Amino acid sequence: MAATTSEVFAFLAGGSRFAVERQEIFSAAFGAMRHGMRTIFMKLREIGDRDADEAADRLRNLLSEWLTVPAPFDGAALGSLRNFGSPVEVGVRWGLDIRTNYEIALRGALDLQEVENPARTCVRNKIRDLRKTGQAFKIYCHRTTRPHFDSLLAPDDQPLAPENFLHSVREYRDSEIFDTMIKVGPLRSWGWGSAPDAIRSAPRFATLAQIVWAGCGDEPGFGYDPVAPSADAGDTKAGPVNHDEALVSRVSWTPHVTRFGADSATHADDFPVEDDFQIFGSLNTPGEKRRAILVRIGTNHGILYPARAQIFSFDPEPRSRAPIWRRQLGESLLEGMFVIRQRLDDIFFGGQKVEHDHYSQIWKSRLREEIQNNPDALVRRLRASGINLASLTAVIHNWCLTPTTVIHAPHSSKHFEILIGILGVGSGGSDGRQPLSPPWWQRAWSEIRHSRGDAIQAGIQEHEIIDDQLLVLLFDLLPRMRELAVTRDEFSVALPADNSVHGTALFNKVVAVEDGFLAPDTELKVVMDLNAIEQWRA
Amino acid sequence: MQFSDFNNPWQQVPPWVGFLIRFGFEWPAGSQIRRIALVSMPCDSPGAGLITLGALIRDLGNATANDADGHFDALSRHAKQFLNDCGPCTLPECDPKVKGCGYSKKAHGRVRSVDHPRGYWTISDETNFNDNTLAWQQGAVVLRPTVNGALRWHLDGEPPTQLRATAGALPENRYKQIVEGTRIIPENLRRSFSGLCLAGRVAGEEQSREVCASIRFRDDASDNALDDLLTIYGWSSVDVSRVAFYNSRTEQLDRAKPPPALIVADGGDSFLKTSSAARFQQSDVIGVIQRTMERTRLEAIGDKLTALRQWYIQDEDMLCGLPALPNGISISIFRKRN
Repeated sequence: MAATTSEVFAFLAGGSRFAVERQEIFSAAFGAMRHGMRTIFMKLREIGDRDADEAADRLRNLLSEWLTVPAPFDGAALGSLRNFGSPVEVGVRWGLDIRTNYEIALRGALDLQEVENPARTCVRNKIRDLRKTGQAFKIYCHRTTRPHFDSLLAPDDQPLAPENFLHSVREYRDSEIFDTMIKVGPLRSWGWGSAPDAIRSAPRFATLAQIVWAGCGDEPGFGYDPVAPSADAGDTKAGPVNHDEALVSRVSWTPHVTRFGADSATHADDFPVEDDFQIFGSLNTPGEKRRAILVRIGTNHGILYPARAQIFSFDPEPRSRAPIWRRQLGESLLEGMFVIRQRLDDIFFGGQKVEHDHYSQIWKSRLREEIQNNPDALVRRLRASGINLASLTAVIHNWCLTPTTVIHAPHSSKHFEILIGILGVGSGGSDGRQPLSPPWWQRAWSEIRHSRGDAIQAGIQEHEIIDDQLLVLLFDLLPRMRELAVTRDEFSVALPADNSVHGTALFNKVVAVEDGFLAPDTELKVVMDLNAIEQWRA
Repeated sequence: MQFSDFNNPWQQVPPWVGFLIRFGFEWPAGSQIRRIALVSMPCDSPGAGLITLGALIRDLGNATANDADGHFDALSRHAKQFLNDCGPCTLPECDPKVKGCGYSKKAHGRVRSVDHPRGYWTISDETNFNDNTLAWQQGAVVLRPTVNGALRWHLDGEPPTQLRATAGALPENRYKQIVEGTRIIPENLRRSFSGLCLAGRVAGEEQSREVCASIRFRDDASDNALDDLLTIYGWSSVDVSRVAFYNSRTEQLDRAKPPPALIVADGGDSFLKTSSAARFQQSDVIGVIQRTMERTRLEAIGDKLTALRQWYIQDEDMLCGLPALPNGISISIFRKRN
């Protein structure tokens, strides 16, 4: 149950000593792997072409995950790195320098297989200590990383309970007062390992047990308060302070730093410790990606929208004066409302309405056959052709799923073309279309894009524009929409046929809103699997 | 005076509650300089309601804080809108944005009498704006109230401007004990006032009301929830209303009155809306936010304050004059440059 306002103020005024117990972890093998990956990342960014940028992003994501999650080093690190190919292939593709660092990273990853991830050891020890002293604790982590915390305890340890976890600012807001917060990784306001600023600016606990890899510094300005943004949230001075333009009275944090693992001095010359997140941030390519906010629609899917985008949405609240309107995420577009996507009939198809899974039925059926007959061979052929996705087998199974309002498929057109080529569907066969019509894979890809709400008409991206006529049409359908919204989280409404705009409006209930993504324009406003969205976490 | 939140045991009024009430009470009334303040709280709270309560008690001691002055003009404005525009409007459902009429809300043309509150009268087309005569009718009966007589009439769906007797008026002691030593003008206890406004949460009016209802004050004679004490029309057991309510979600004020002098905005989104709204550009705004929000939303508020700094300066006098700040609260106050 959430702490009441009085309980929070009583706690803050109650003379608790607020401490950050920071455990910094050193590991020679991890340091080598990290150094190799970081150097490759920087060099790939210098190359700057699309392939190099994609590879750099994958490396950044891998390393960011290991720096913020206590994942086991049971070959996963090595396996993920090896997805980039053999050192020879890497050398041929990007040069000797990158190959050398790749080999360093691989050697580090190989060595890591022999040891337990020290971050796991630290978290386990901390949990055991807290339990021994009867302290109430919570772990702040991303929802998808929870299994790594569940798995780090021994079988004879009492398992972690759901109330031991916090995954969002909302859950933090609704939590009671407790003793210790456990956080793996640096304090960052968004992206990998992000946490609410309130952890520092409005604590519900007296001790922050922070487990970080050496070199990972907290984000400057973490603990942001709009009233006094320039105030150092880590200020050790307690009580009211008159900042430039505000009167601020907040708790003071006392830092205690301990070190864990190999002595830093031993390997300092080989692989100097650096702040990877700072490097990733400075070498970002903001021109190609945009800050994005995730709207979760259901258990496994979500849509990334540009931060501060005005989104065409439906408020099912009967008293709403503007039930269908453009709203801003997190401000006026709230959980419980519906995002509206349009699937309008396409000019390319001559106005003839197309079954939204016409092509997908064909290629998915072929894909299922391949998966049943020889899944390993399919994975090998896809990898050899350039689809180097992590967990490719699992991804392929996802592509096989029956379409709902979205067709599960590769997220880039390049990968889709490769897939269709390997499956051999649509080649040479006639589907009754004119000989000069685009290749089969392009028509199938168009269908996928439609299912993702990425309607393209006459070559113009239109989903930035709300058609006034569509707005009027939907107003006429309000009673039906409200009726459906009561019982369903996802529904579609066909637009009346006697209008110039034909098609369907798709409605998805907003389950949760999450900030902290950086994604290219092509990945925005399309329905994607949540696992696929993870790659765009900043 | 004792205090309880979420039905916890009664206790002395805690410092954070006392501070926020005092903050509202001390807020300068009738100043010609516009001020904007932001109060940052460590958790969700009825902070906006408490500041509003303090300002309400302050206004009870202000002889000019009532809707009686200018009431006849307000009725005339409503009548003109009804007879000239809203009455003849052909839109099936009122939508000023679609119509482009420039009004914020429909004039329904109905009035009620404090003497006979059950039935309503309709503004009659016998109204003559040239000789300043209002007229309303019920069936064949037409009434033409005088300027003084109009005080007994109010618009349907709004609180009465002035009660005839003390029945339905505010109990004096209930407010006197919350801010000790305060002076209350008895006439104000039976008059409504629209110069003070609580802007509710964007999530909806009910959310604001619920959080206010979660705390209670008790004295020797009564036990009152904050939502009741605020006298917002529709929330309170008393007839008069000393606080207007602005629904930040629908962007509607609960009464057809000029913009309030002070708006207390509950939540960051509400603060952003009210401090930027053209109709409130002369009003003081106090925003109350909680820091347990997503960074993007916090930054949107920070950006707003940064933008304000072009035209506003820190109000050092007010900041320095504040009572002791409870641990966990931050406050910024700006006043418009001369």
